Amino acid sequence: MPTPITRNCNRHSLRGAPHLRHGPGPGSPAPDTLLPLARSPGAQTRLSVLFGVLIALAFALAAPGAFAEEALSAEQLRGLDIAREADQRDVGFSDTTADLTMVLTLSPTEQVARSMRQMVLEVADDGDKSIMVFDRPRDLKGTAILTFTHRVGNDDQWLYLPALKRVKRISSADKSGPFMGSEFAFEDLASQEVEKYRYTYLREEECGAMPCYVVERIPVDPKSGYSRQVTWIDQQEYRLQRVDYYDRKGDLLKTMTLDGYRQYLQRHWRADEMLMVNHQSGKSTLLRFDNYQFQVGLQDSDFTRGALSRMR
Amino acid sequence: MKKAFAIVVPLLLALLGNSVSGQPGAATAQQIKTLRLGITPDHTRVVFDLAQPGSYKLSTLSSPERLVIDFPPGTTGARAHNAVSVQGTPIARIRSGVQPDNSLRFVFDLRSATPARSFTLKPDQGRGNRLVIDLSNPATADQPTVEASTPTTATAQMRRPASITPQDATALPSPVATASGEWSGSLGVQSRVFFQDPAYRPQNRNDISVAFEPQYYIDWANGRQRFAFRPFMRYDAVDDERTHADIRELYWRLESGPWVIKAGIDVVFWGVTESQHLVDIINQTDLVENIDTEDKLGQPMFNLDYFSDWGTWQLYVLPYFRERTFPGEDGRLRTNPAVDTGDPLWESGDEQEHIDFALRWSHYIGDWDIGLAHFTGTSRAPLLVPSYTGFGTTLTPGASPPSSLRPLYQQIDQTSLDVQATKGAWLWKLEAIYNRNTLEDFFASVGGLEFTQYGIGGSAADLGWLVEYHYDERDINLQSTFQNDLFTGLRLTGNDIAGSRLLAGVIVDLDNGSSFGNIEAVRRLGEAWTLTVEARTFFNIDDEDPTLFFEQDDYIEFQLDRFF
Repeated sequence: MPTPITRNCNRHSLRGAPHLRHGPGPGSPAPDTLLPLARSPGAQTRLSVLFGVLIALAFALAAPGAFAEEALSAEQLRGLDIAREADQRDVGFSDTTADLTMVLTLSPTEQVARSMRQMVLEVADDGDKSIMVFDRPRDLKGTAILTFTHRVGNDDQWLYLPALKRVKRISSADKSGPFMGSEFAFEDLASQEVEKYRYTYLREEECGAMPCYVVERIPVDPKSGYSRQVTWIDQQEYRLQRVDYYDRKGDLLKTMTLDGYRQYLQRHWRADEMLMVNHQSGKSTLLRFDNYQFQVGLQDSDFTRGALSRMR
Repeated sequence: MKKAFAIVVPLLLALLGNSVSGQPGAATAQQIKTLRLGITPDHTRVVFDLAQPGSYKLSTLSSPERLVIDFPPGTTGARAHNAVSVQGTPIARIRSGVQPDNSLRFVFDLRSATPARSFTLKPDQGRGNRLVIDLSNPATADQPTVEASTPTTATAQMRRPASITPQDATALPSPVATASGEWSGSLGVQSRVFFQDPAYRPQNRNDISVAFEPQYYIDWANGRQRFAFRPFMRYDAVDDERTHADIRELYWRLESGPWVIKAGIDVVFWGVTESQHLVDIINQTDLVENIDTEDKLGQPMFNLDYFSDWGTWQLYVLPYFRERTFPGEDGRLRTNPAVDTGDPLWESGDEQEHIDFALRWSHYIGDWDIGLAHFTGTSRAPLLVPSYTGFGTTLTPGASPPSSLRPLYQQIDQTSLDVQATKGAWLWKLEAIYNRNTLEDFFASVGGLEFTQYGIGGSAADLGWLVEYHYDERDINLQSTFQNDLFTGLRLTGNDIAGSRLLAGVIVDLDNGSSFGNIEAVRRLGEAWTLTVEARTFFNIDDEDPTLFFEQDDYIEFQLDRFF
């Protein structure tokens, strides 16, 4: 089933809620800590810090790749640092809404448009919640998807079918399938936490007129359709500027470029356009974001199965 | 004093292409905090709340009529117009965009040429710097003058601000809820072709029908209130009973914190399984529409929902009963004799006025979705009682075949459970009911799984496998055909631009082998059309099985829908 885009890409990831970006917030780890559950010590008792250390240690032992930074090379550390910094810079957006238009270019003469609306709620200690509602094509009008993104494991997802008035829990296990027949795969648009990739810093390079970091990232999820991705992130604002996607065989499959960045609330950068070009098929999809709005006062109660069924 | 600072711009009517700049020369980057619209009887006022005093440029363009406001390079706040309703104003649409020189442009698409004037206001009475544009309303003569006072500030006349301001977060809507009403809907043509000759007179070989289902929604109070209207009508060339109209939705709804109140007519779906909808009980089945029982008649209701961290509670008071629709004498897929819907039997003396109640609690815990419900009232599924007219009494069954079947609506108490566990690509589903009534209490359930393979054969398509087992304690009859039945099916989802999908399956009665095969396929044609094909077949039907009535009713149905 379609997976909603919960966030435009302004960081290393296309959307979603890389968990470490919540660092300074309540219940969130500091950006550079190795201990995900060790909160800001000033506000904690020694006991709870100790508890956090123990749990984090358990995590570190259970999943050495996830937290044991000691094992990372200098390039891997630097890549991870860049991803985390990009992530950190978007903490605190609270909630956003936007209108989306997707233009699918099937051939030089044939284009198809889709339109959707999305609302996203930042969650303090987990991935974001989001709802996407379809407006076009018209037979899908009112169809909506609620997603609870999780830092680790599969997301929770419900689909609302207006014709039957049915809210249906759906599997979020699909990663590599196309979203609405477009060149965007579910995983391109789905939540991508910091630790859903392993990073390697490659080089510095001009992208456009800006100096960028070039960082390779390898999906941790074996169900990913990609063997690796190469990302370009500008050094000034840590915004994602470009991603090259390599298929499972290691061949270049797609390139996404991001354009029209604007800063909202003097902090949060969002691109107006994301263009995905498939090098193997020649098709492309342009995803445009309009009417971005921040901190409109959305709450948990706006992201429930009941609220989903009240969409239109 | 205030007006002394305002730069009043002359009327721009007929000054096509003309432009006026406020405070020329001061081109510092601006920040637009909010954009608001206010409507008075004679004009529409557009207010930009600005972070600081600064310059702007106003120009008009014609063919089509547009009003353009440019702010200096670097200006932020392009999305300030999101969720601003332009309903009832001369503005058709508001757009914004960053220009090549990095300036920020707002474009107001006007419905017709409209005189406009603009001025700026300095901070005053808790308001910050503002840019104000006044547009004359069309046909002001027809509108009553509600307010005659002269504005003393730029916002004094705003009786109906439709704005969304970040500072005013408590009053904010669901962003997808705009304040404007909207018509949409579909128009469809359907043709059914039956493979065999009809079993009963005066049935026909083929059928054609047309259905129209418009819908209207309007939200207001920042999306917290809604009015909905969705009528449905079908004209069937063959079956008079299938030519029918219904109001699927006609309700008013109010959301307030964790509470949602709804009064009127609506459709409610409960359940998780695919091959049978056992726990779904609020609405009556519109059986003439489709034997899959997924089409429902609108149910009058008063509904109260309460959302909490420990689940959602839903209370329904159902003051009026809807009778099930059945095919008429001319229709296929019917019993013999046909059901006489004009002459129902009721257990309750209140008949259709019996007030039914339902309460449901639902929640999700991790991978699990759970619903528990209780219903007390008139059974949606009637018993079908033979009627022996022509002999004057019903005392001599067997002397002659019954002339009709009469629906008998019992009073029931039904408790239900529905559960789904979502484990990666595996969905595990269970629905169960316990039904208490004056004739025979019974238990029934349906449960199974759905497993999906994604990207089969390197393509974009997904293939799902479905298995569901049906159990019903009752003896087999027309109301309960799923004593010990197995559904197996597959679902193909194309993930393509046409949104192609196909569901095919077979339900086999494990006791007597009677089988029902079903294929449903849909794809989009262009932007606004869909083509649906359904094929159904009854085969290997046992002589004692109630589906024997439909043994000759294998059919294929083509449906073309136009959405608007």
